[in-house]
Amino acid sequence: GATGSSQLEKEISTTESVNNANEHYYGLVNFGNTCYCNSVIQALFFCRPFREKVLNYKQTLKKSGASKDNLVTCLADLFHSIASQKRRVGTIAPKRFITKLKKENELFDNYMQQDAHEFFNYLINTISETLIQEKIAEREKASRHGTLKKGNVTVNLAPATAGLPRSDEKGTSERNGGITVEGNEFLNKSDTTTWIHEIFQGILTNETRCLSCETVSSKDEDFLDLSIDVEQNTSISHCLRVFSETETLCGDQKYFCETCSSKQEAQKRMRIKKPPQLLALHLKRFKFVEPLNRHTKLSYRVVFPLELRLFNVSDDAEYGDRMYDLVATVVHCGATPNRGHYITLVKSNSFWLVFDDDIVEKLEVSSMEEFSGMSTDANIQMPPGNQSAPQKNSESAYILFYQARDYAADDPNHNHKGKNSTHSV
Amino acid sequence: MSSCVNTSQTGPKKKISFIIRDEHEYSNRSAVSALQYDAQNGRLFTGGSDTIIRTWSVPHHKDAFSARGGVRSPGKNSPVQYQGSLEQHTDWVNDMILCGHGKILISASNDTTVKVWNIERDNKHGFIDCIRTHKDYVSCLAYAPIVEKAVSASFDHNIFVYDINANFKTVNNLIGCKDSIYSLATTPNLSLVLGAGTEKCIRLFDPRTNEKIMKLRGHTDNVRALVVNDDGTRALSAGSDATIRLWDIGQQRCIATCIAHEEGVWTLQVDSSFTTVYSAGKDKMVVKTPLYDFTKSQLLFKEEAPVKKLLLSEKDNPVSLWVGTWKSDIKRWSIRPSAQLSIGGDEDGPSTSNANHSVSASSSPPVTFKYIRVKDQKGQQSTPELVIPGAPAIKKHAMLSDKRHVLTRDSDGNVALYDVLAARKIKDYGKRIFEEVVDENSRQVYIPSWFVVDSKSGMLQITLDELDALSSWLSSKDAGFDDNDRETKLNYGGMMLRSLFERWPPCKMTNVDAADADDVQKATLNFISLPEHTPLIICEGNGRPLYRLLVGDAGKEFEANELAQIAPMWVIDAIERNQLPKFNKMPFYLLPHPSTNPKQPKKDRLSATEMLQVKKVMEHVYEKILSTNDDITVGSIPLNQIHTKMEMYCNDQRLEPDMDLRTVKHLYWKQSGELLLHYKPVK
Repeated sequence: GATGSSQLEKEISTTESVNNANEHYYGLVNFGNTCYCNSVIQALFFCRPFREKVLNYKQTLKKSGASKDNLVTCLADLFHSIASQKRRVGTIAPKRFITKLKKENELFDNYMQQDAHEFFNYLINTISETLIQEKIAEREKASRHGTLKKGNVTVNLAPATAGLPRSDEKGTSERNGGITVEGNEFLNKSDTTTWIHEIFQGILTNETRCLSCETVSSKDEDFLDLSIDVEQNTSISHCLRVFSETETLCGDQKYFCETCSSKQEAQKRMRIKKPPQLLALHLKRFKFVEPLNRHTKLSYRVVFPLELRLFNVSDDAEYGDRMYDLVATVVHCGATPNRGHYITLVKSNSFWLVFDDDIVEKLEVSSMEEFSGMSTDANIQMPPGNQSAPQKNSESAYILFYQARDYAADDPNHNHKGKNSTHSV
Repeated sequence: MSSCVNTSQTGPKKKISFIIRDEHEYSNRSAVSALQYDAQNGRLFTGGSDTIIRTWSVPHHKDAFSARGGVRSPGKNSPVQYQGSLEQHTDWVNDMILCGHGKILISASNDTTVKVWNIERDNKHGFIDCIRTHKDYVSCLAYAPIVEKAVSASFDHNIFVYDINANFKTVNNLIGCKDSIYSLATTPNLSLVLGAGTEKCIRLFDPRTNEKIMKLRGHTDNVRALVVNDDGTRALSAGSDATIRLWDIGQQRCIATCIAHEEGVWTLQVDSSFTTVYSAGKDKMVVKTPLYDFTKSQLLFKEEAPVKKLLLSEKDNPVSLWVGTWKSDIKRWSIRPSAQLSIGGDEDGPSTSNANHSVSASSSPPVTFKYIRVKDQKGQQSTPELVIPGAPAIKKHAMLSDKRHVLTRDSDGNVALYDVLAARKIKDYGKRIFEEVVDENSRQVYIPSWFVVDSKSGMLQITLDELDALSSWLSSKDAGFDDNDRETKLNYGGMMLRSLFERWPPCKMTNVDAADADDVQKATLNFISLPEHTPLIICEGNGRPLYRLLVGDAGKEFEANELAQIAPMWVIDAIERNQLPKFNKMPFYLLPHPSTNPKQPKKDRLSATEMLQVKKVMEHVYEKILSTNDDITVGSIPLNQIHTKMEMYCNDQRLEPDMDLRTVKHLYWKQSGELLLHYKPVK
């Protein structure tokens, strides 16, 4: 509502520092269960490096005079219209974006609740896919004039499936939302590295040590987000520790060691070799329960810190001691994955805000902990008289966006930010 | 023996394996992990990854010095003589103990068995018993001589105690370890048994009560070596965390930690007075450390490869150390500074000065050593006093596209070609680039795989299982057999089984002459007789061996009867009842080539055996499809001329008339869904 907005306007004007007075806080209208989409868009809008790149994309497009209509341009238009509003607060309807999304992917073309993490994956994969195709198109354009040979271009994208959350039992395969491009002689790494990768991509290293010859073999894989298992009454640090826990391959699961030329016991662990600039941590709260034949929500209480230093990094990691600040959190509310609601907590300048579709409110840092989850397992059966408590506690952080502190400082676009957002029509 | 064979009809299906090797494997082939020395008779026992336990006669030290610089075996003038081998294990031998007053050797293996051998001189029948109590790799053994008991431990978390005087009956099962056991020790009277492994803690048991007494914590990684003193008051342990730890058992605590090593420590030896420990492992350094001061470690010598096993030739007054490593050579190094001096006189100069230096250093106050890290020290020895040279091990292998030959490269870099059907090496290529030779020997053909290869023993082992063994049909032309009747189909797996069981009576009876053979019999008629010494192993689905015999012994009464009980049903069906699976059929579509501009392309769905050659498809097109077309007059044409009348394409690749459909599918179609072939008449 309008009154809420003006209230917020007052609140922010008193707390805000002068040089950052250009930030806009706009709620997004819900078009029928589109909160999964709204929540992710809000979080990404407040991931500064991402926002800058999206706005830059629009600028470049405008300069080149090309008219394009894809999910990226729709997102760029939406970001632009938020950033170029006269009023600091208000609501906006992301109609074009939603329409485009539903048209592009039939899995989102309905009025059902979707998994915000699925949508996040789909969105960043689609953006990088679009960017890669544009790069290839540019190159081909150049090759038509130049002497470059023509070749078949195949772009294999990680399946960006949407819809119901996938089974979380053995989540290793879904760790990698990366993009691989094969079969082209002159499609080099710079072609496949887009700003999506610059921002979100990290490297995991899978180390296996044979217990007989003690030879360590490691295999690297890229990731755009990390999916981690959750446990009751724990912390993000604990979940990351479990993620990197040593697993012993023994019994019938022995490892074929190349050095020993035979099956031996081995220990395996997954560590981070390159922490990304923007770490998207997905908490695997939706678990497929075989006997029920459906996904249930794990509302476990998992405390998330506002500052994070990764410790499960490999010995040869670059930026191994990176310090991260929490910048946005997508929160799932409700007891089941298919119903429920998504909201976003966002840090802007020095204070926190809650974006609940079209409603935007300020949030005290002290209340952040309420979004950790529930500390008891009796999540649904609560006495009727005590309804406020479970509602509050079933709001649990689902995707955490941590931004590297060094990155925010180094970001060359960071200084131009004001320009971009004020320079608008 | 039949008592130790427990036929399990349930569970995964049994497999058949055989090993391609020489009749007499005089030299050790691969890593050496087990050593035992019988000082009384001057005999050394060695075991390791090549599965074969060998006996060597070893001269006393005096003789050895005259023969420094390496020995050859077998050779008349060599001081170390190969005596014989004990061959029943089917996987790595991890540990051995010498017991029963030097008459019995017990060995532990990754084949999950513990085997007992009679090693009395001139004894022909070495093998006594096979103990199958363990369910996983048996990693280590220990011996309590006072009570004549043997102890074994395994990755299955179990420790068993056997009474040597009561037919190796299992008398104890010590339970309590929660992870794989990698190291074991016992006091001579079996008052105390220690076991440790990936659990990182050392567990102590009292076998008299079967109770867990305590656990010792301190290691931060796998514990791979354990020693306990005779009265059970002190223990030494070492492991993957690169430390050696001295424990006071009464106080239940670690009283000293030695950090001399850079990497995992895998083997320990202590003299009988429990004053000096000898250690080695991944970092190749063989180190001597006094137990009274763990900071005074000395580098004795550096081996060429990571060390799997150390053995003091005598524990009372140690003068030399036997060493087994990842390499197949077995060495004996002098550890007597005085001995080194006396040899130094008639040896090369640098070695002399080196020896002098070390001697003076060790006799002077250890201050000079205190601040030198072991890895920066100069070894006290530079050459071993004895070497038993090993043979190269196969390190790499590739199955060729004909699914009959395997190309290998050994640890010396030599490339060789093996014929699996004949169980023989057929060609040496010398030192060549492996991939190049693979390419040279590869043909554009697809034949289904019917066996798997491994080289864990340093020799080739071929394994057949029920699922794939008989799936490999091919035309005798593709198989390279001279055959007048071009239509004959062979089954490699079926032939292999006939070769392996050739001398087994039930198989012999079904052998027929070529003239009387029906089609199914013809499929295996061309089998090749194998070398009689080829070991044949019948194992459970998970690889646990059930029975091992030599191919040549299958006709002997005892072995034949064993086989009758243990041979898997699918093998008996194939060789006794001549039951082979039917040819696989493959559906495919025929379409006119787009370049012929067909008005209404008719898509014909057909089905044929996957070995059908492209020219037969051409013939079909020519006679059945094109003949209905008025434009072309069809005359009869020989099959080998059919390609002059038309071309066949798959994925725009022109196909050779001799190729069969499955080859087309694997080499050109390369996708799921039914094969699409395009034909184009040649005008």
